[in-house]
Amino acid sequence: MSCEDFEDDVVDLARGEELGPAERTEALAHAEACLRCAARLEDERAVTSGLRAFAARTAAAEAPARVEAALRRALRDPEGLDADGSAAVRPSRAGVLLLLAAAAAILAGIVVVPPRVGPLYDRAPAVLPAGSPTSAAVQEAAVGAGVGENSEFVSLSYGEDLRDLDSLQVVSVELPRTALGALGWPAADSAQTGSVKAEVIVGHDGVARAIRFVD
Amino acid sequence: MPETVTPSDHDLLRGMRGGDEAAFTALYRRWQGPLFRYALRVSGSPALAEDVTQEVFMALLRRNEGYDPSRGEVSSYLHGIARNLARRRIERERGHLPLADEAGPDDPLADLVRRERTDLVWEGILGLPLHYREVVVLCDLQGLSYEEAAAALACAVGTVRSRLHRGREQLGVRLRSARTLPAAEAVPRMTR
Repeated sequence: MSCEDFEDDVVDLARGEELGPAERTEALAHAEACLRCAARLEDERAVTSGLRAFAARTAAAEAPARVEAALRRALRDPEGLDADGSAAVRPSRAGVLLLLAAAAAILAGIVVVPPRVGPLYDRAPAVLPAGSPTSAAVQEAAVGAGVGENSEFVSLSYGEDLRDLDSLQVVSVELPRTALGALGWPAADSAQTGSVKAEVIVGHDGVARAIRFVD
Repeated sequence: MPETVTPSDHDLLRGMRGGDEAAFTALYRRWQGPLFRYALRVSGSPALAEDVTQEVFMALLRRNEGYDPSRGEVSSYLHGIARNLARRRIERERGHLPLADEAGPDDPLADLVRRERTDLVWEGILGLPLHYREVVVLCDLQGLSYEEAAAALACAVGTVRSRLHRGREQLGVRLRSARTLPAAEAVPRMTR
C-alpha cells in the first residue's frame, strides 16, 4: 500500500468502520512501516476520540415534551393545519427571533454603510427587494436598479442561495488594480496603477456575496 | 406467550399518515431524540433544534407521499428532512441563532448546551463550512453509514466520503491548533 492509498483509507481506519478486514490489516501494516502515516493515523484517531466523546456527552439531549403535545394536537385536528402545517402548533420561538432579526436586518440595510474599498462613485447603493433572487435574478435586479451592465456577477460565497437572504444591496466601489489577484482574477501587471470600478452585492450582514467589474 | 413484534419505521409512518395516534407516538418517540440532536449539533441552538424537530413531524403529517423505501431507510428520509430544514434556518439566521442563554437557569438542556458550547470540539464543528459540518455530524455524531448519509443529503457516497475527509481534516487542524486534542482512548460508541 502506498502513502496515497493509506490517505484514502485513514479516516475509515480511525473510525473503525466501513473498511474490510483485509484492507484494515494492510493499512495498519503500512502505518507500522511509515512514520508519517502512523502520525496521520494518530491524528485521525484523536479526532474520532474527541467526536465520540462529544457525541456521548450530548446523547441525552431531546426535544422538550411540549413538542410532542403540540404535534398530537395537530394530529387530532388536521383541519387546523394550513398549507405549511404551522398554524396548529405553537408559534416558533426561533421564528419570532427570526422576525426580529429580519426587521433589524432591514434597518441595518438602511443605516449601515457596508465596508467600502475606495470611494463610492456617482451612485448611492441600490437596495434590492427582500427575498429576490436567483443568481440570474440578482443580475436582473441589479441592472434594474440602474447599475452597470458590462459583465455578469461572480459569486463570492460557496453554495449559498441568495434567495435566503433578507435583503441585498448593490454597492459601487473602486478597487486598486493590484487587488484583482486577491479576488481570484488574473493578477494585474504590477506596473499597472490606478483603480477599477466594480459593483458588489452585499448581504444585510455586510458580507459581500457577488462582484462584477464595470470597466 | 405471544411474541411481540416491533413495528418497523415504515409501518409506523404508514399508520401515522392514516391518523393512528399510537403509530405517531411510537414513531415520534423513536426519532425525536436523534433528529433533535442532529439539529442541535449542527446548529448549536436548542431553539432551532426544537423547531426543526417539530417541523419534521409536521411535514410528515402533511405529506401523503414522500417516503420511497427504494431510496433508503426511514432514518435517511427523516434526517434528510431535518437537514434541509436546519440548513435553511442556519443560512437564513446566520449570526442570529438563539443559543441556550435564553432558557431558564433550571433547564438541564440549556445547562448542557452552555457547558458544551465552550467545548472546543463543538466549537470546531460549528466553525466548519456547513457542507462539511453536516457530513461530520451525520456520520461521526449521528452514526449514519455513508450510504445513509448520502441518501439524507441526496448526493453520492463518494461525495460523503470526500466531505467527511475534508471536514475532519479541518477539524483536526482547529483542534490541534488549540492544543486540546484529547489523547486517543477508549470512548463509548456513538449513539444517534
